[in-house]
This record gives sequence, structure tokens and C-alpha cells, in this order.
Amino acid sequence: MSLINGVLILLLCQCAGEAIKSYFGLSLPGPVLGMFILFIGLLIYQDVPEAVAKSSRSLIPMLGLMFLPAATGLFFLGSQYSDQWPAIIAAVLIGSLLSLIFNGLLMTFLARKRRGKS
Amino acid sequence: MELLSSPLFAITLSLAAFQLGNLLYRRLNEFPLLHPTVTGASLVALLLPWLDIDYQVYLQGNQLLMFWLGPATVALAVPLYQQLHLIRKMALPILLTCAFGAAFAAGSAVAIAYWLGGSETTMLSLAPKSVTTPIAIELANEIGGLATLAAGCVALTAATAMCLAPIVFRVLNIEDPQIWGFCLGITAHGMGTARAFEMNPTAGAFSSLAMCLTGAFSAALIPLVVKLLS
Repeated sequence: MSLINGVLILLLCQCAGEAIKSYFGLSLPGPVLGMFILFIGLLIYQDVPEAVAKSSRSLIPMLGLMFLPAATGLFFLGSQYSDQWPAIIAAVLIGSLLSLIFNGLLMTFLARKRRGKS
Repeated sequence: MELLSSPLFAITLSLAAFQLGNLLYRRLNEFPLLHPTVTGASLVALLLPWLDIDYQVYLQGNQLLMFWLGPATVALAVPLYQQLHLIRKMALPILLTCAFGAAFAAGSAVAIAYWLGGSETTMLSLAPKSVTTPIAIELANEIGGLATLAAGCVALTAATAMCLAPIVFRVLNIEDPQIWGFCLGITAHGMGTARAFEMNPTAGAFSSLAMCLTGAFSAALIPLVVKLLS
């Protein structure tokens, strides 16, 4: 019963997000706006209702599975960009590696500075 | 064969491949390069031609599974709210890293592609590679990239960064779940967030936050930079 309530709240937030997106013509996705709406709701309510907590505990661990069909698409992008693949794969591989190192070092540095102050 | 092109079979295949990937992942002590999303997807990609199923049919069949990405994204508000006290403390490092990180991710990808002689379309499709898929597709359309190619770059980036991150962070000696999750979210958006929640809820919350902020920053920044350069 409470799981259905929780999922209903999530869906209502997503509907509200989609409505706001189309009304204002925003480029943010509906679910992301829905997340903000739920977040504001939780701030006002000052607690997480059991139903919402339950639905979130059920859905979030399944994220990895939900991305699988789209990830499979990587193998079927095919020949139309075949001359571009070396540039794309290098940019993604090297770029991601550099990004991870850059972000990690920057965040560690800033966090240390911040903690040093307090 | 009717069954092979049905959503029932498509979703069964996704779950079975993912669980096989999970089994392998657990057997090999969670070796980062073999995350079940990646190994499962590779397995499905091998099986589809062999079963004579068109990828588009398989993807359509999985609409029901992918529908839940929406509510699951909304659900990320819960860990975000529960970790609010930590997020407040780190507000400035979070905002700064996100702004620089988003710019660096887009800039480095475009620079490398340019250096290797990628076409203008390739560069414009690579620019939103560290942005969550729905925003990336809109961005690509706006700046003149190809939506399908951009979505491909996003998925490839997510899979790459999700697998590389644990190795990179071990080398850099980053163990704090806040930083671990946050850096994963900037680079690997959705899949990275899925991976961060496997570590712990704090890492997951920080990763969700990074994913949203990077998306927002990139949506504002990338079209502006493209306009200036062209």
C-alpha cells in the first residue's frame, strides 16, 4: 500500500516537472525538475514520509539496470561515423580520464581548504 | 518468431544479461572495468545479431523498463535531502568544482577531437558528453551537433568514466565518499550516479547533485561558448 503511495508521489512530481518544462519552454528534463519539486516538498515537510523513502529505496538500486538498453546502443551506432570513431573514442577515453583526475584534485584541494578553515 | 520481438523477451533479456554481469562482477571482487551495466550491455549486443533481433526493436521493447528512469530520477531528491547537512558544508567547493569541471569536460573532449582531425559535427556532438542524456540531446540540437551521436558520446563517456573512476580515485588516494561520488557525478552523470549509490548513500547523493549541477551549468555555458567561437 505505502509503496504505491510513494510511487504515486514520484509520478505526480514528474508530471508537475513535465508541465513546468513545457509551460516555460525550459531545456531541463521533466524528471530533474520533478526532483527539485520533491526536494522542496521534503524541505517544507521537514521529514521523508515512509512511503516516499520506500519507493526511493526500491527504484534507486535499479538505476544501473535501467541504463543497460541505452548502453547497448553503443555497439549499434554503426558505420555512418566510421571515419570519426578514432577522434570520438580518443576524446571520450582521454577526456574522461583527464576530467576524473582534474575534478578529483580540484575537489580534494577545495575541500581541504574549506575544512582547514572550520 | 513472435516472442523474440516482444517487449516481454526484450526486458527478460535485459534483466538476464544484467544479472549475469552482476554474477561475474561479484566473482571478480567487483573489478571496476567489468561493471554489470557494461558487461550486460556487451552481452546483449552479442546476442541480438545472433537472435536476428534489430536493436531498435529491442530498445522499443525496453520502453517499459526505461520509463522508470523518470520516477527514479525524482526519487534522488530523498538521499539529497538526507545528506543536506553535508552538502551545506561543502557548498562552495561543490559549486566551484562543478563550474570548472563542466567546462573542462567539454573543453578537453573538443580539444582532443580537434587535434585528431574530428569534423565540426563530431566536436559539437562531443561537447555535451558529460551531461545527462536528455539535456545533452537538446544541447546537441541547439548547437548543431547530431542528437544520436551526442547520445552515443554520453553513454560511452558514462560507461568509460564509471569503470575508470574507482581506479583513478585509488591512485589519487581519494576515499571520502563525498568527493568520490561528486567527481563521478560530474564526469559520468546517470551511470556514475548508479555506481555511486552502490558505494553508499552519501556518495550517491553527492553524485546526483553533481549530475544536476553539471547539466545546468553546461546547458547555460556550452551554447554561449559555441556562439562566441563560430
